[in-house]
Amino acid sequence: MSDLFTVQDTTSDVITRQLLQNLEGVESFAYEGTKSFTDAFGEALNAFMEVIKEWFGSQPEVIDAKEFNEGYAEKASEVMAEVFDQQTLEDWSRMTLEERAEKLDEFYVKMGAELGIDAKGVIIADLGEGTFGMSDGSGYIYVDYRILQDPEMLSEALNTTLHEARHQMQFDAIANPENFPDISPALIEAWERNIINYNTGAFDFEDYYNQAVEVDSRVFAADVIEAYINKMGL
Amino acid sequence: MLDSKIIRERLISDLDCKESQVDGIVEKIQKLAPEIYTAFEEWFNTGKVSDIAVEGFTVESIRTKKKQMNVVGAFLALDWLKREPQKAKFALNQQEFQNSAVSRGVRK
Repeated sequence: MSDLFTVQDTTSDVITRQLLQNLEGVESFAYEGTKSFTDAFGEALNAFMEVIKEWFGSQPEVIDAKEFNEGYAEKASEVMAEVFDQQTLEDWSRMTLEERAEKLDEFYVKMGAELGIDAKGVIIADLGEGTFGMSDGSGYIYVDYRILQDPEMLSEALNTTLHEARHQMQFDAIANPENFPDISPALIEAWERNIINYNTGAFDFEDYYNQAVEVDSRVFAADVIEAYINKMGL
Repeated sequence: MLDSKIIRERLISDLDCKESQVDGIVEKIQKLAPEIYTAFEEWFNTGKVSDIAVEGFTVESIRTKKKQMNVVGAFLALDWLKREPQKAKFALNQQEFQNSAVSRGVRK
């Protein structure tokens, strides 16, 4: 990903627009399925939950992560239902890339305010094919433009935003644990140890996948999506 | 069996493996399933990557899916597929999220 800007010097809105301008020829795709987009989206979310629940069943340590998520996931799903409401879902497939980016940014920033995290904004970037998101603890999260281009990847865009938002929360909890009294000191310490010894997966993907901050983000995102599905009746 | 010290040195010098991670990785390499170890040894000694497949994945296909993964990582991933096929397939089929936390460190 090209490092065009110093993120501390400008807003994510400006960064997003300028990065989008630098993604030559990038346009959003329209939805071309036979069923309604909302129906297709609902099916995609439910399919995601089926797969993730199967994974949950094989991960006993995930239960500890879930205990802390209830309140946060509920708040996050409320924001998600507010921003990605029925009208937004109906309009999504017709939105430009910039409009979709603005919606995702709105969701992240509002959710951040509710959860007490330093959510500055979403930066749309070219992260390379196969990589959906990135966080660096700066308050900005990065989302690959490809999952905004294709309207049928909205579920991935939301999952990615939730996943990276949770990483930002991990950073914030490590920096200021007093702001997150619901999260146990032991868990925050585990996150800190993990981030200091973060495994990128270059050598050991199993270890990368099972490390504390990744499991936690995965669980959080799934909890929010499940609550959102119920709220929206998808 | 390959000498652990030689594997260790090569992981650090050629593949930029961190000191904090290298011993764990060497240990995993030495515990690879026999057929995967044989393929690893061939690559280590000759540079040639065989088309050994586990659960439909090869070294090449794994690296195509997971672009951050190096060839050693792909061999370890094959071993994970052999030990826990469902979990490993689920993980390998998921798209990646990066967390570049380490580059910025932890604020306190």
